[in-house]
Amino acid sequence: MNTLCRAALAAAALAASASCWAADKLIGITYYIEHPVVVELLRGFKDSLKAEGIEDGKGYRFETQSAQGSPVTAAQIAKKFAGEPFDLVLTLSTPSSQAMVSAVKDKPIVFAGVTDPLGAKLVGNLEKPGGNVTGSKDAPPFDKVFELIRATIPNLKAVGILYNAGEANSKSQVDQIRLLAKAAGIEVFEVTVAKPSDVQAAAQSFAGKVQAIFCPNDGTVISNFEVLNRVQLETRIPVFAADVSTVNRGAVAGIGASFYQGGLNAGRIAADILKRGRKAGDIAVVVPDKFDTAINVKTQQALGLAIPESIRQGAKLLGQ
Amino acid sequence: MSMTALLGALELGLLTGLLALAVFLSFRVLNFPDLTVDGSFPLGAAVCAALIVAGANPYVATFAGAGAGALAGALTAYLNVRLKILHLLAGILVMVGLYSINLRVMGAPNVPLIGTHTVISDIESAGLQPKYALPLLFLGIAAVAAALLTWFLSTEIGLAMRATGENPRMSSANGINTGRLTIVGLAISNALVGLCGALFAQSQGSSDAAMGSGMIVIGLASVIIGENIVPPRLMVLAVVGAIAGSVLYRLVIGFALSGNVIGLQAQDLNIITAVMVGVALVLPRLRATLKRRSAA
Repeated sequence: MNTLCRAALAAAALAASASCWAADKLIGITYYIEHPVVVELLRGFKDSLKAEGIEDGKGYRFETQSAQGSPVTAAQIAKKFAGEPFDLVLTLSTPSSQAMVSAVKDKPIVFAGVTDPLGAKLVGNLEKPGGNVTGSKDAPPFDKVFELIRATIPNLKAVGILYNAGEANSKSQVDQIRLLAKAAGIEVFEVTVAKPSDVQAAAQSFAGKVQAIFCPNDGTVISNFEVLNRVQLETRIPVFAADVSTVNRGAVAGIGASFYQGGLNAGRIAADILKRGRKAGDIAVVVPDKFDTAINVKTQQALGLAIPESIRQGAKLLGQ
Repeated sequence: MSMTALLGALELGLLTGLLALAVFLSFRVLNFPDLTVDGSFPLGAAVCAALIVAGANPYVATFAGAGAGALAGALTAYLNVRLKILHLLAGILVMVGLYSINLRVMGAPNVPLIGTHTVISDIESAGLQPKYALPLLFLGIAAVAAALLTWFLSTEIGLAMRATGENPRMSSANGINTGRLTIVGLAISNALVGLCGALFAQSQGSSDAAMGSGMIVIGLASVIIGENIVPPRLMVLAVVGAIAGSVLYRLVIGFALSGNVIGLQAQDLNIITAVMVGVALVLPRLRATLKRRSAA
């Protein structure tokens, strides 16, 4: 009797869960490693879906998985997602996106937080990707950041760039920065880091060589920006960023599309697919076009750096 | 866990079984804590991917990845045996150096292999379902590697290698060239790691500079789990156990990935894995104690 009772209960529970899940649309989310950028991208993604009435638990179910930095786990998550009835998969970062694109061919994949989706072979074409993959591409406005640095430091001769040479996203960014600097006749000092603990010594090596540090959207450096910020205040070499949230964390000034905006764009694509029935392959990869200028007043005052009024106007004043 | 997730876990577990065999050979047979693994895994992937992109035959490229791993292992052993650098430090030096070498080899931090002719794409284009074919392929490769390793360890050189690990002083007193055997042993071990990296890059679609981090932990966990589920009374059992441990480790992560059903979140993955592996290690001993108590 007891067993029978339990079996009936279990069956009822199963039926109940099945009935409430059956109608739910499933959204899978995966990223490579916990990271401030991931948090911002996800916040943007969820906010933009919320505006379309897509929320976890309200006709939709979100499943989030993190590879916690392990490539084998990233591959395993991709294979797990391949076997489940997801209506859409969001992948953040290049390695997680590549693993998912290799494993999943029959579900729409939307990527975000990827700087070079062509180079990473996620899509063959940005305008019309074809297949089951599209997404939101990072495109930091390096030319604008360069103008900002030159306006702030009029006799600029040398800038330093700090990045992890092992990150796919950073490589293509640094290539662009180098070209811009060469065109402007500015010398570039590059220092690479392989792990978080390298950031401090690498940043300190700029002392006496450069007048400004250009901080690309590099995972290792941004994750450990507090270290770079400390060195900035010690050596009094201002750090300029290509995104706004890094200015909020202490960079003296920067211009960028926030990672939040990248997440918003990915969410809009997801809504197109989920609600308006569009095919991922027909949606062009979105490039951010709205850029904000930001100044960290606290850092600016600590460094005693004068920022021209033309830049201050319309800029977000942070760190007050 | 869905069928596909289960097959995926099997596939990856059998593939990292090669890594487990390698760590078994260095840590257990040679008694050499070899940390080269975190560098030779991405090295195998990097060499293989760079060659494939340059137009080489993917099978040749895969073996070249294994060959590059062998060189890295031999270098670590050389630093230790001939230049008398502490074994842990020798492995660390090679691993750290390989990070830059791998970037040089690839010419970029990430070499994508999506849509390229690889060993894996051959299986797909042969009309086989990769979901079923890949676990079988990696089962075959792991079985061949395990058989060869078991056979090798029963040959005269293999026995001398085991003696070197057990008691180096006694071995060299008996005329065994322990230094040379350490070099050969680590070369074989890291060839397996390089092969594993080369195959992994092809199956997951890219070689990435960051893909080596934590590999030694995966290998060690597999070997230790294996020893718990398959008591290593014979060499062949120890070898099979290492692969079984690797598969079990992946299955554990597979279950941990389903933690959202009971309200766990993505960031909890590693702690769930650690707890489940811990329980798996303690359970057999606990059961034995209980049995002894009930017998008494």
